[in-house]
Amino acid sequence: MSPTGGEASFFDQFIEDYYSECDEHLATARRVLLALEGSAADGSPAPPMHELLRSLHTLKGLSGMVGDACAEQVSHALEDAVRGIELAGGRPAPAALDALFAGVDGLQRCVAAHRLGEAGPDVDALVATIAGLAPRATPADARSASDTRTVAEALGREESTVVYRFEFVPSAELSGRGVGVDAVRARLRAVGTLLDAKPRVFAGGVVFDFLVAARAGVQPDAAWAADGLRWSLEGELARPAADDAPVAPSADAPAAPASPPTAATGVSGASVVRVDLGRLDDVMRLVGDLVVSRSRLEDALRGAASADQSALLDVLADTNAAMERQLRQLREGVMRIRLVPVGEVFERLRFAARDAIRESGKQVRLVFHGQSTEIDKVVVDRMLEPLLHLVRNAVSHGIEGPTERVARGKAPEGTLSLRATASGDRIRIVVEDDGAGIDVDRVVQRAREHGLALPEEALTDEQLLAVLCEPGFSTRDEADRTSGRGVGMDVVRSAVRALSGELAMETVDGRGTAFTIELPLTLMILDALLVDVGGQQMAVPQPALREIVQVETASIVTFENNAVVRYRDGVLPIVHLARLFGFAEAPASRCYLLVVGTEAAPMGLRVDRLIGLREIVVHPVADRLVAMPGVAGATDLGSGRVSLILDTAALLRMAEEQRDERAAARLAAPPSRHSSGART
Amino acid sequence: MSMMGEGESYVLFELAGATYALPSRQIQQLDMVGTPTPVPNAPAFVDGVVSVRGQVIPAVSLRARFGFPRVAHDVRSRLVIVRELGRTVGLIVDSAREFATIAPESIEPLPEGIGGTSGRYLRGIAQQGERLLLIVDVHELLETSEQPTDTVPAEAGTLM
Repeated sequence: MSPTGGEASFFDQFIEDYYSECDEHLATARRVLLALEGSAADGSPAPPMHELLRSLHTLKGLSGMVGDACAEQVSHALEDAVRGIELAGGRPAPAALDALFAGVDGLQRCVAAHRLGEAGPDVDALVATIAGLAPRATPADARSASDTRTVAEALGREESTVVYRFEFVPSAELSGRGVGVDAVRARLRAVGTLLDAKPRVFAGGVVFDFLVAARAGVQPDAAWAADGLRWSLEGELARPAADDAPVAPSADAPAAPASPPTAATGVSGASVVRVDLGRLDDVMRLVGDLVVSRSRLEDALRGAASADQSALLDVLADTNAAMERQLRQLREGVMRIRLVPVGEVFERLRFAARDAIRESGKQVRLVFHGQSTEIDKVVVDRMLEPLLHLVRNAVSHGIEGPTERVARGKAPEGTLSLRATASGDRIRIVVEDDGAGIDVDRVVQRAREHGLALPEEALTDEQLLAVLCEPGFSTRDEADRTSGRGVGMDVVRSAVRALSGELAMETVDGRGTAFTIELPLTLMILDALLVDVGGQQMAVPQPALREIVQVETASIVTFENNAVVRYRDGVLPIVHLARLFGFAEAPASRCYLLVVGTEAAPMGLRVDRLIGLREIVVHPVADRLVAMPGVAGATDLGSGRVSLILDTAALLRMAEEQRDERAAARLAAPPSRHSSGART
Repeated sequence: MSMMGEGESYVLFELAGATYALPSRQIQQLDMVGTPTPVPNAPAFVDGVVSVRGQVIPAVSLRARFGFPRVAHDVRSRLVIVRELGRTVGLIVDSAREFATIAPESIEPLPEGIGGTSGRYLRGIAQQGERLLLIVDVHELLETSEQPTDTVPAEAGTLM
């Protein structure tokens, strides 16, 4: 699909898989650490750590393969440390636990930096701290011994199990057939328990090694050999050998250096959705229905010559109605595939909330409701950041310290609840605390200091929220940063609005504050290529793109107001977008042509720069002041700045009309009479 | 704030040294002026589109609409978001920070002398103490009967 070629797109897909896997394993690591912390607090049995170890191990392997040295280093240190803790009885000291949390946080920042193509953070101090938790040297044999143990533990008490070793070599061809790492994983899960999955690099390619403990009597399907899978019997699984080198983690290990509170930048989700098979089947069935409808059309066409008019019309009208219904259902089906439970985001928030709670020294209980409420994947990902803001604000500014709470007659422990509910085609997420409520007088005073026009009478909650959301309102001076409730509220509101949502607030003095985010369940979403046209960022729907070529501007031939470039066996007419739109033209030696149109009549849209592929939310541009041909809509990329979405079909039509006009004008009148819009 | 008793509530804004008034009921909200995205071939007085409450709306330069020279936006510049017959449009003004109540009977028709480009978009004039408030006719303002200009004027680009 990607216009940049097969290999690159295969790699892109793999990289997305990597990020998605990292997200999953980071989530697992956090969950186990939180459980560990919980068990340390209430003395309940510590959770088994093999799951944590396996996640760290996989993170290490994956990071090594994609060349994320920083993530590899941190996950390696974490794995060793956790192994040491496990050997010592699986109950880390609080300081050690802090170091592990800091490590997972650091790891997440490494992955996030890699994802954004930035240099990884400096993790030396972090790695040293974590290494201090497990002071033993790790000779190769000791580590492989513990690997085996982990494997055995994963199986619990099953005495003898057949273990297969699978090798999967992915390729663009296989992925084209739908056989990717995830598909293979799913197959192997059908065979038995997946003990280990590790990618490794060989001769410039990638191989995935899987260890699978097969259920009794289950064997791999011989047909899989055609799908790049090879396997061998690894043997019976041995019971764990007693470990000979248990080393207690140092109980008074130095606390990890306080990591900057930037977790927000590291928690963007990967663009991979795990799909319930039933939903895919629904879509498949609908596609089948469409195929049937099309063959009805074909029959009708074939019979059109002989059939009488009215019978033909009936069939066509019928089929048209059926296809309309089927397409609508198909669209809904695809929308359902895009839905993920909102609980996914809540879990990530739990981690961020934990940091904020520890920093604040307050007692806060987190309560989640409606985690299974489903929402579009894109909406969920984009809601993470604003929700993080709201949660952090509630902890740092909303909920009071234990002493103050008791003085007000409340329980010393505050409650922060996140609730998700769906109603019709909207979803509502409420972040509510039982804290002090917003100090309205203070906000009003600051607003007046900042020169905001406010009515004389008492502010409604809605007006108060509007004040809090004034850009820069609360961050203008340092005092606000710590005391105001509006930290980053403008960011929250613009993120919500970018998704066609609404933000509302209700605050009661001394009782607490509730923020409500209401969002559409699904949005009109499009894969688009972002480009730079004369300094403006624009989006071009990806389905419209046939190809992208880079050309030397010198190779563009201009004649009689037409510009063309050599393309395949012929020439490609070019529309200079910046010129068509009257934007500034930047002289450059090279430019990009987005090839659109049909195979028979392609056309190149000249742009200055490619920015990248993005999933965008489409907003209509409907007002007659701005609804112009060539503009299909607009999108808000989260920066607050709107980018226009190009309507390539309309641009083609415009270019053709201009050509015709010019041709007609050439015949009729001197060329100087043209309107300025006809420049090329 | 009001000196005229019963009347309709208005939001006052400044433009090129004069004070204008818009009926509050037609105003959805006041916003900071972001950076409008220019729209090719839109009328010359349209600076572009902006996103407001998840909706992409036109941002009209009221200076350009009234025939005044454009100026660079500063911290006092405001986007006045008006609703008119189901449409939502942003008006960029020099500043907007006051409310006022104006009694209908104190609004007088425009004297013959005031005309020009901006005169077309005014409903009347009201005296408030020492100053004159020019009452804006939103409907007339958003009319697009005049031919849209072919190109975005060059100065729109330099303001961005």
